[in-house]
Amino acid sequence: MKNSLKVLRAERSWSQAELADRLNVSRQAVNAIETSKHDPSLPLAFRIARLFELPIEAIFNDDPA
Amino acid sequence: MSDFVKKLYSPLLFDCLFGLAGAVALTGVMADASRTYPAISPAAQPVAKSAALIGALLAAALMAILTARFDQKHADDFIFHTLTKSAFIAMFTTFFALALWQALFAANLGGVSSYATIGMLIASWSLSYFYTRVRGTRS
Repeated sequence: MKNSLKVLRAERSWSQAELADRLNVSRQAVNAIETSKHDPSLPLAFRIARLFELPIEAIFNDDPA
Repeated sequence: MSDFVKKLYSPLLFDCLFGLAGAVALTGVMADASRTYPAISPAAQPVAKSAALIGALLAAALMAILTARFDQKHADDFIFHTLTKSAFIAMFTTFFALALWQALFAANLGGVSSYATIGMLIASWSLSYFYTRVRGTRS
């Protein structure tokens, strides 16, 4: 699943550690999501969406193409 | 999440734990190969032994369920998925390795002790943990 977490984070000038603190997860978790090595659980996806004030589908894209 | 729990579930701490546990387990498996064990004698009270085994199984299952619930509540998303996926891989790795051993090598090289089985399980959990950690939970 692709996502625009890295772009959204960069727009706010947040480091991975800063975003991890805001989401209450580890920096490694943020890195794994950004590099598409890990798909977040639904509760975490909602937390991300709330933090960026965007709908989940604006951040995560499950289109295989 | 409190600072203590956050530190307890730090990915770097898990890296150290799995690295250490894997190394110790592999060493133990190799050291165990030269040990001899007495044959398991038939139980004097087979019913009591069966009941005790089932009781131990249920108690261990309850403990594992509670531990997994605690982990899910306190570990972050990525670490919990890494732990569970690598545990699943390790369980099947050990099953398949033991089945292969039994089919191909047990007659010539001897059986595998329960200590070696636990060592294999920990070693394979460690290896699959690092594989999942590096390649991600989607690998």
